[in-house]
Amino acid sequence: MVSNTPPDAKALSKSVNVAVARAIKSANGLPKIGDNFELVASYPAFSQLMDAERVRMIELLKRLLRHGNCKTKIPSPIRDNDEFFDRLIEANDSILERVGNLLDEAEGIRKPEDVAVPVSTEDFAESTTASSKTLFKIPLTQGRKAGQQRKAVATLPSASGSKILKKPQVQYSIPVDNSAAPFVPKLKIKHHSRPRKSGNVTIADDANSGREWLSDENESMHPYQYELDYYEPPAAQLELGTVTDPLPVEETPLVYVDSVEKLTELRDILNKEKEFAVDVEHHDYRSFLGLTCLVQISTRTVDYIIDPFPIWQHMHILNEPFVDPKILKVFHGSNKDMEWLQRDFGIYVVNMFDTGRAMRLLQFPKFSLQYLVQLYCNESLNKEYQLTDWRIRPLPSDYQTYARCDTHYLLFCYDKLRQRLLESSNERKNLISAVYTASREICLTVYSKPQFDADGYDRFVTIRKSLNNRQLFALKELWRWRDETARTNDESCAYVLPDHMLLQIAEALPREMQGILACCNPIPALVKTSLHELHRIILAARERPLEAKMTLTKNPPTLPTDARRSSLAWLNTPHDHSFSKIDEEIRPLARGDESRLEAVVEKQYSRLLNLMDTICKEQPSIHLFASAVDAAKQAASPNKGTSPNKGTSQKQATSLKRSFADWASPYDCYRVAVTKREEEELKKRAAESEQTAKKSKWSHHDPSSGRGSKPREIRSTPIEDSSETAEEKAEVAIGIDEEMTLTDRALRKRRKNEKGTTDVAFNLKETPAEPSQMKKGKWSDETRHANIQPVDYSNFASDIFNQKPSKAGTFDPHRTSSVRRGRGGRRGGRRGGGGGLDRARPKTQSFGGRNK
Amino acid sequence: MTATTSEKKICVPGERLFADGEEHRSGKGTHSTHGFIYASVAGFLHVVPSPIGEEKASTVEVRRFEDDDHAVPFLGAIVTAKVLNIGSRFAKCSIVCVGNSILSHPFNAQLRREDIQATERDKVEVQKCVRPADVILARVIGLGDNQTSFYLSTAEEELGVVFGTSDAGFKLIPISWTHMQCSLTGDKEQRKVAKVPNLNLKTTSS
Repeated sequence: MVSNTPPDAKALSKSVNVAVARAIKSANGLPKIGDNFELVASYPAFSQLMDAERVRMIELLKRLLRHGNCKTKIPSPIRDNDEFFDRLIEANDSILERVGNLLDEAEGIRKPEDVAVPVSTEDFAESTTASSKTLFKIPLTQGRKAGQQRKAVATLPSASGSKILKKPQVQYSIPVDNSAAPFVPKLKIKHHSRPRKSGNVTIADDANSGREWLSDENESMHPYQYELDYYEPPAAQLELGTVTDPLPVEETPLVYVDSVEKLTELRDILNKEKEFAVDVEHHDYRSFLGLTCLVQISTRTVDYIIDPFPIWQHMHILNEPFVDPKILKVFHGSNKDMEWLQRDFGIYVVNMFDTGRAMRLLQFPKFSLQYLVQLYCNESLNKEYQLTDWRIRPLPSDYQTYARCDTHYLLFCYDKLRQRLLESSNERKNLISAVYTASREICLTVYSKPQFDADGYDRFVTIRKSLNNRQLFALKELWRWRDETARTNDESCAYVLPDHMLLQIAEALPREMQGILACCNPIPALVKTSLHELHRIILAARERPLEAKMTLTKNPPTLPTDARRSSLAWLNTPHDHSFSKIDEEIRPLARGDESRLEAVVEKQYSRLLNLMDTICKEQPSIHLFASAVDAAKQAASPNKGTSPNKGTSQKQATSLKRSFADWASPYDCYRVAVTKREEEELKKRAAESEQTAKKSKWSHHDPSSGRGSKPREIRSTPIEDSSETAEEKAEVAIGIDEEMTLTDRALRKRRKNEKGTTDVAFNLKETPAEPSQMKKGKWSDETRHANIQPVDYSNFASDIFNQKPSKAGTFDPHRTSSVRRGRGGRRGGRRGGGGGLDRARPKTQSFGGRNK
Repeated sequence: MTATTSEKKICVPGERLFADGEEHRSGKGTHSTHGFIYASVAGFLHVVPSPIGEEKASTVEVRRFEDDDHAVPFLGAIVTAKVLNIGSRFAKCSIVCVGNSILSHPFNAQLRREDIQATERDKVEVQKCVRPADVILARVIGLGDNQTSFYLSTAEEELGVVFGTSDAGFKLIPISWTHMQCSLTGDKEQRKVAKVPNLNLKTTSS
């Protein structure tokens, strides 16, 4: 049904779109899984309906795909939904691919041949054919543009008859100078030179040595600089004038110029013209500097194609019309053309109109020649020819057609553009003048040879691709080798070794030659021949010692303190290692600075406030402090700001500071306690040493009574415990102390335990001084030195022994009394049943020794 | 210039202060190398009497400020810490002050069960000695294995709970070594009380 009338297809596709949209909408209206589907699916009617519909839809899909000639199969019983979708996607892809193919074909209807381009095999190694085939096949589906691989220069199949057997430079003995010497202009005869005075020569007197002759003319100047400086576009070019329609290509004669006679003829014809269009075809793959392959010239009536190879040295005779300021030359995008004409033929241009620049000034959406010709002439130029090899001879006819078309329409386009420019310009013709100015600038370009940049490989080194010093060395050397080889062999660097392969080799640093070859696919011919040299470079690179890589990060990681350091600490010495990560360390050191001191004080008090907050929470008992805390908080914050409150808040602050100064922190209390304890210990030690000192003064000559009285004296000086128990009273009455009844060890234990018994009320119990162990007697010194008087049993109340000492008032955290009781009990036990347990343990014999 | 800055010698790091001889010992902010005492930090020179137990008479210190300020808890320091939470084996604390200097940011610390008391170290129950939100005085006895927290010990008389909060939410007053009493409700709670005098009695109405 689909006839070849486009409107039908449009209407059809529109209706299909509408139908699809409706279908999608209704599909979205169905209950979704997780939403309503489960509920609805529980109704058998619904699930039956769904199954039936599903079968129907699958059938439809299958039929559709069959109609569309799609090869993918949809499995009939759909088990896996994912698989089903994958198949659908596959089918879609294949359909779209074919659509793309067909569209390409449709567009390329004007193409005489199928655009799958094979390659002229001479230029490349065998393996290149496969790759270039793939190179050119891929762009078909992806885009309408031809592959932009300028390096893989392919020839169109029409050129299969013509091959490059020898390089034109060789074949036609074109002199090539790839050395680093500066470019020598090839201008032989200066036509149409403007008469002028000879250049000014100034003599500069140098301070050191003689004189320098400076001339304002130098070799790097443009030979027609003076002429171009004084160049003005002729008046006719600035008039609206007429637009001459171009002749159809078929009716325009094409002259192929490849001999000196034809060239001279052309020159004479051109000299009589008012304007002509020029275009240049250039080749830059198999030549280091590049090679101009073709010059196209079009007049209003005739198209000329000049093959410069046979007449290379004579091309300069075209200079005459080219530098004639009365004849207009029309170019398009002539920046490079100027260079090429200069370099190869010594042809310069005066009075030029660049349509590309005009288009830019007129702010066209695109600036290409295709667009221009398409716009004004409704012709489409096949730009694929731009990338082909123009060196091939004989030049195929389609090449010639393409070449002439480049200039054929140009004059007409120039007319149109001129008119448009004049329409858009103001009364001073600014736009068109601007075009001429820009064109003149282009004319003034002076060609200079590309210098070898030893550091040119830097552009490969990106952040992503960081190379170590070995790889960098290899890269540098390979870069240099490539340039050398290219110059020597007169090939482009891309032909010698493409960039990506260069980088690959430098990165991989293959140890063997095979490795180098493996990096290159396809292998360039010159790599094969120079394999040994490359290998040497790689080996040299590998031998280099590996250096640590410098981190070239823009912002090296800084220490967390750095920011604060720089802002606050004025002594920022690297030797100062006391800087820690703590804020507290970073303080303003200039204490003379009042404001800073204030800030520090504020900070300290705010911290103190926090501390107090944690300690004294909201409690009615300390509401005094609470109010103080609140006031301090109020004071601390607006202290920096509001001035009218400053007086009161400052007063508050000072009063708070005073109260804070009075407040004792826990640490202060601790220090008090510790110092007290230490004082006590000091006193004790002093008393001890005193006691021992005193004892040492005794001698056997001293009366016993004197000795006897001393212990009593010592005991009486300490603070008397008011709560004397009955037992103690009794003991005093008798004249014995409990201490006397104990052995040294027991006495020591007792003393130790008693030391621990202190209560929170901070009352120190009297701790009698520990007697130094002078004699190792079992009985304490008290017994030895005590004056044991006979007991007066008449006054003796015997019931004092029956009373147990009450230890209710004392606080015994270690429960020493119970411990003692336990030990005493055990002792008693042992005494009773000493035989039973002790026999097994020989150790206890000493313990119970005295009991035996 | 304020009056607080006395005419003390200002040192810069690396400045040679004294010979490392009989009377001088290198203290905070200084280091001793090759027989001399050098300043490590910039600040004012202080020569203070050595604490008891040191054989040298005076300690040379370089301090930023007049008062002895600390930045980090050091081994053996007496710290004021706040108990954050307790577990069966230890109590997690946050060190607020070191000595008398308040830290700018708190440090984490652990008070292990066996370090709470000097005696009967294993039979201690943590919840009967400290509770969350208590303020304790403790001594730093070490750095943790993972070096993220200090280890504390209250196994001394003067160390332990200084301030506490009762279950009712009010201040606790110590009544004995092991008990504190709520100021409002009168409930007694068990704590390991620090044997320090309460010198703020006149300001607080307890």
